[in-house]
Amino acid sequence: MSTVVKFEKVVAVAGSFPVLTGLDLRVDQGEVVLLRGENGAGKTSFLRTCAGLISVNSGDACVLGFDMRVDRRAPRRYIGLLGHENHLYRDLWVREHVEFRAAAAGAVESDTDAALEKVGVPEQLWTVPIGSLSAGQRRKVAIASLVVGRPRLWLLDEPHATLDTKSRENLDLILGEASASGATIIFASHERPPGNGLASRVITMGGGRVLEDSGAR
Amino acid sequence: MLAETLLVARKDLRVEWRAKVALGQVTPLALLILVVFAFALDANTSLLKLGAGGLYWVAVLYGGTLLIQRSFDVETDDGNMDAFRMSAISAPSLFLGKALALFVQIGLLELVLGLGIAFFYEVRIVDWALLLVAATAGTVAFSVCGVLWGVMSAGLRVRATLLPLLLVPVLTPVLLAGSRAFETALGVRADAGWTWASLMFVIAAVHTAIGLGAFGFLLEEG
Amino acid sequence: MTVVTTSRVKMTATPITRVLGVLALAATGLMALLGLVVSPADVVQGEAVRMLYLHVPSIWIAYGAFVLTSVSSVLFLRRSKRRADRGRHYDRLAGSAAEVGVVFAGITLITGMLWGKVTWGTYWQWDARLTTTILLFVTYLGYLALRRLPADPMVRSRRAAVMALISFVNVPIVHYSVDWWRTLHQKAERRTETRNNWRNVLDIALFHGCGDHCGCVVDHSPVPSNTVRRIA
Repeated sequence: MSTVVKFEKVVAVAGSFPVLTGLDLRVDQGEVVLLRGENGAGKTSFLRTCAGLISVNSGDACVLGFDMRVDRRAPRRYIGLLGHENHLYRDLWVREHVEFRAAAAGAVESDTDAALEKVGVPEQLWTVPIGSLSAGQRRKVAIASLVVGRPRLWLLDEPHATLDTKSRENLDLILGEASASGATIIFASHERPPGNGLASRVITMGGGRVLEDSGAR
Repeated sequence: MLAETLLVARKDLRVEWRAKVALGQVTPLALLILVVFAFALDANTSLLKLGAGGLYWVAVLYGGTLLIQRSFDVETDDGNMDAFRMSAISAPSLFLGKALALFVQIGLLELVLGLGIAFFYEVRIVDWALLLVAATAGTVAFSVCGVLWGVMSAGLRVRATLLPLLLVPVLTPVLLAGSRAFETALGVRADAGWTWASLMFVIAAVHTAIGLGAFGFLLEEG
Repeated sequence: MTVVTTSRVKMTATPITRVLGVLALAATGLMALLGLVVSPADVVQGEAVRMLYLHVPSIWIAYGAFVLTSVSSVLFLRRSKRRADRGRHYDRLAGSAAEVGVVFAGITLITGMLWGKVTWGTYWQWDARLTTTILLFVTYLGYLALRRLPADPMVRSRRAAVMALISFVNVPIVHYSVDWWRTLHQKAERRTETRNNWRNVLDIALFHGCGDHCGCVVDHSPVPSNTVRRIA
């Protein structure tokens, strides 16, 4: 089992505000980690730092074997990030958008149909402009965009938000499948009960560092 | 890299095709500007004929700025910039892809504006080759500068006013060169039209070189 | 970890800048004396030539300031590549230099216009130098606007630095195109028939006066108020 994320005393600054204040964390391949914590605890910042969108000021940060202090762009192609926003082109049709994301990730375009089916977007919506979908459906399209790229590391910020119960269960299934096939998943969630038993490890954050870790080593 | 560039360009053009902002809003607006010039110059046909070369490029500047703005609004909506940064597509391909899409859109705008000055200002085209080459050169320069400066004002709240402020001083040589080249092509004056056209290519080349190098860096935040 | 907030603007005068300041004042006084009183009126231009004593060094200062902005920007970019929060002082220097440059470019334009009214009869001529100068002026106004944006400070500094570099490359292009388009502006400020020793001394004094001003303003880039400092 290789280490996918290794942070040691990581300090990260966004603007002039310290968002990570000496964070220590190690995540191995195949784990499904749930991040919990109050608003402002640093969950989003941690996910973004793993994605290389926030630069590391001090400490050691290694993601997928890449040193984030040397080149934080390197691991991005292997990462699937889903933030609070959906990263969707509202004018494109559903299928066109996911096809673009597939091509951008180097995947085959026929994977698009499979991905859309998997997340539960009905076929009649595939040729509908994204802007006219409901919030929940848009979230599903965003997830499909991630699925199609087959990332090695999934970084999800409140992925269940705006999804109905059935879709949530579906998402958990998808994440379970991804984990079983070797991907690592870190997701932040306020859901109760925590992750529906999906997560093998729960980490509580606060003030930019780890407060509690159910699977600490 | 070519495949990635075409992928990005196709995506941009498809977005435009679905939204029809360039076709439906910007082009009519730019055409209207040509009409407004006639009001401003009191429909003085000889003045309009003399100034057609320059007025054309002013209208292109106006419409082009709106198109550049739109190109980046699409990317900053819904956190798309993050997706841009996270994608496996290299930054130079992103730069060229967006520039290519802009080239097509501004090119189409210019086509309509060209028809505009032909009909509204009754110009006579003396040198077709020079006209087309100059128009192409100017369009390339606009597109490349547009993407480079568009990314600099992207995601900022005051971008609608900042982008023109940054872009216009940069594009003035293009405007200057384009106007002079067009004037020669329209037979208004005998000038070094071809040299002006090549100046526009030089400007385009310089900005392309800078863009290829700096785009990735400019995309990052924090 | 303690967070300390300072809410006063710190004065950044040092012994060196105080000396520079006094010298600048003295040189300015000397400049005023030489320019307005001692130096003779020009054979051709009359008293209007006195405007040039301010006009010409002003544009030199502006060019120098913009070069400083570009050089500082390069240094900032290199420093901040290694460590994300390093090189801030270069960034501030670039901004301060641009402010000085804009002010002196403005002075160049205004004095040029006034001089033009007296000698040419019009406030403005579409010649190479004037046109390039006003484009330079607006370009760096845009640069200052970019620096003032409500955005992440690092993003802002970074974009401003790249803009300074692009502008540095662009300005010669603009100059070349406009120059090509027109050439009317007086080329021979330094080569007139009334050249004499007083003129030499005068130029040096002017340069000093303006240069010292420049140095002082550049050094006085204030530490931003409400700086959050971490004592970790």
